[in-house]
Amino acid sequence: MLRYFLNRILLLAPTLLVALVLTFGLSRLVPGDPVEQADEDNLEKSTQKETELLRMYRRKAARLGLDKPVFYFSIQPAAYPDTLYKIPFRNRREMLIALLRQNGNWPAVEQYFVEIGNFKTGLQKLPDTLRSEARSSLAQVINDLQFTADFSVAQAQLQTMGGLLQKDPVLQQGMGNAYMQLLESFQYLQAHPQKAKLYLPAFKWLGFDNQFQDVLSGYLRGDLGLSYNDGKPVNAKIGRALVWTVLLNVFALPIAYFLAIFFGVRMAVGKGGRFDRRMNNVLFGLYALPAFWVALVLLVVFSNPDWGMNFISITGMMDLDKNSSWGEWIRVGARQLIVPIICLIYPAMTILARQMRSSMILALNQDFVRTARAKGLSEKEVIWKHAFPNAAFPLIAFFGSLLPELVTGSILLESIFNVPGMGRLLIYGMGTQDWPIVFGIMILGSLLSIIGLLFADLAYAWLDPRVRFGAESNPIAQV
Amino acid sequence: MSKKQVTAGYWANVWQRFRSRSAGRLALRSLGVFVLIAFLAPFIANERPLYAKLEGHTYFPLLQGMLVDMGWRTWDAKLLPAEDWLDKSYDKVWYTFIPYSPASIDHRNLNARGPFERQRVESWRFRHWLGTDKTGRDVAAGMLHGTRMALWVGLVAIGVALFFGLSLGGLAGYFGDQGLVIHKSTLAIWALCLPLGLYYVVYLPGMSYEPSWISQVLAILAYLSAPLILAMLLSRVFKRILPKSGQITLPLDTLLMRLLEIVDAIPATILVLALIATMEQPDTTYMMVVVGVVSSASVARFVRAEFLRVRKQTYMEAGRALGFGHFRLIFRHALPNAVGPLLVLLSFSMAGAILTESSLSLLGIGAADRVTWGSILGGLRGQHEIEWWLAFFPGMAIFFTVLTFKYLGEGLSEALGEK
Repeated sequence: MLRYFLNRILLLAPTLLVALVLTFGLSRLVPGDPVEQADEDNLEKSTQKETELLRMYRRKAARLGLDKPVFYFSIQPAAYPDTLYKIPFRNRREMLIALLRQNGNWPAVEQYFVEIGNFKTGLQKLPDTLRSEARSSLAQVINDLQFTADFSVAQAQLQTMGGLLQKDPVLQQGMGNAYMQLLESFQYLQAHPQKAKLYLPAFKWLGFDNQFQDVLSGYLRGDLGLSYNDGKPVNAKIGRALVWTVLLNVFALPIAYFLAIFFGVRMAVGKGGRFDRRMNNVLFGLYALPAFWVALVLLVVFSNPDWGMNFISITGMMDLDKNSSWGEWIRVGARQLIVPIICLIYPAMTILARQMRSSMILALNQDFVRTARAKGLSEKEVIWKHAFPNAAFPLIAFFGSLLPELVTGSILLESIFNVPGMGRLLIYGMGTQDWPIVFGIMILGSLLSIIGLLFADLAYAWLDPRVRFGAESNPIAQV
Repeated sequence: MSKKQVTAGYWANVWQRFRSRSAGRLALRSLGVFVLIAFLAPFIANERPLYAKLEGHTYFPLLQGMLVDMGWRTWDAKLLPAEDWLDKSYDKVWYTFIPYSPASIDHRNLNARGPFERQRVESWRFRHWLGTDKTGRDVAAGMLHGTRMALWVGLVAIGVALFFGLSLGGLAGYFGDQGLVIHKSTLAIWALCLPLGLYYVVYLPGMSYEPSWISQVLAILAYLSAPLILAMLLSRVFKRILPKSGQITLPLDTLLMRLLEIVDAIPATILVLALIATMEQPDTTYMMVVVGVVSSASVARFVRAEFLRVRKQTYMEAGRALGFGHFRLIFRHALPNAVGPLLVLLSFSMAGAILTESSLSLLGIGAADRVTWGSILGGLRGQHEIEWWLAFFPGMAIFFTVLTFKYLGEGLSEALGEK
């Protein structure tokens, strides 16, 4: 048993690692600049001065560890520089890549970008007495130019700038030089493309001190990072939400299992009979009924004071705290949770009952059942002592697959009924682009689903020694 | 009837059995109705009149609008601005059955008017038969166009799932762990060329700035296929040159199972949400591609199991003994025998995809401008007093569509003689 256990763990560990890498990769693909999103202070708003903005960004990036390379290595066109991640602001990085993708000459692109920056700072450094219309429109154009990846548009913008400078001799005196340099670098860039480099992949080793390493060691310590919204730990948020989701499932799952076993066994025993046929249709209908819609309909019917059936509510639970009495907790909680629990029970119940029925039918046809009957055991004993334990395998496997559901929560039900559980946290994180929460839940979900797989495997092996010894497994278990 | 049909073929038998059950027949009929509605939706509910007479001239705004939307024509000057169709003063006009488009806003019936409530309309002709939603959009029009969306998203999702599932699962199941014996040089060449193709797809060098989607798709196909063709040619050449001894067996099946284990490890719902999150402004089709990719894991698993079963059949052995190529064995012999069970699976997946789409748009994820059944329901989220018509009609539509596909699958699997 121990050997089997270790074997399974060894197989599942790489799976977890790959899932971690995948999650991390996705978390770097989502829109938005993490340095800007983290915490409440908005860099762009706090200052307009270019140099100060860059300094602040670099400081914040260093504090968050986001000034490091993303991964251990990179595979990208040879034209791309290996220090791109050090350039502040994601939109500027993307701009540079867009220029580079068309041109391929990194030193020229970099020079052009530096000249744009120089022009911008130069314009900002001009004495305040020089407030003219030309200056403000020049500032506008240079800001646009900074995010123009289309060469023909950039050309037109540079011409506009030249025209503006010519109209204002004072500006021409202050900025003429910077403009000439900018124009020169642009023309050099256009004249010297190195497109061949774009087709050549280059492998670069970036070292162990990278973002993935940081995130991974955080996960290993059980630290899921900080929320972008308020800078509080994601762990605490998930912990608080998990309580509600677990609470829902603690009520829902045992009831679903109990009903499924009850109906499934009865249907299998009386296979083809009236109860079986009717129940089959009922289960099929329930299976097709989307739970979220049932939830909405129940909400319509039972929360309408006009119809005199004001039984359930979707508010109140958030206001409860430690001072509230037990009675109040139960009363308010029941009003809000009873319908989500029902809506959690019936889909699980329908799947489980159909599963139970088919595996029970298989079990009842086995030889050992006939032997048990021939021995003269009562029907009850035959069913529950001999057939049922063998038919219960699929239910165990299903429980393993339910574990990750516990983390995802029922996203829809929690959103409809305002239950502050995992599902609502996930959707809230998606809506506010709070990625550490979303990917934290993803990691936790992957972990739990791997534990679920392990649990199902071990339970199988424990209940059926044939699995342990690598022999052909229980025929019923493969339903 | 031709003479050939004297002995009914396999599929004719299946069809016979399928038709003999009322549930399957009913499901097929209701599918027909859904498809019909999906195709005709713009002609049933549209704010653009079918026919209009304006200042002595005759126009067909609905048809013209379709051409305009496709970019083949421009609007006649008299019809401009091409909006507020209901407020224009026509000499004579014929509207469609429901004179509203799913997105057209009726400013006189804002804030969700029920079907039986008083509506501020000129005549019964303009009544909102299924009420309006909070922004004053007609629910009936939304329902009809929602049918279109539902079928479309289902088709996209299962199409994508089928493509990946069939190719991965088919290869793994057909070759198994021992079936694919290749030369070492071939493996090395493929191991080099395949990543190279993927690399070019990611970076797409040589593309102009802001390319159109057609040129993007073409470039992706070119960059994917060029290294593959190169690999095929190179491997043939090397196989001739090098000694024959360097053969190895590639355990395709084990590789696929490991891959599926990884996909299984990440909860599907979160994976779908995270993949959607990587898109700045996800549109419904993209979302369904994501759903298709994620659900292709189950299709792959299924196809693998089917192919493993088919592989052991005697007709496959006979085919191999006759020296048929892999291509012929897969497409002429293995695949047709796995189609039946696959159809059942696809029918269930279609139901699943429609459910997923409606729950995603219920949550407000994805394109906000498209009206779908889920988005009509979505207006009710987290709300205390619920307008029953906004919950009832889309919910019933989802229920019946899902039921249709599930009965279709059930009927098929019975007709195929499973269980």
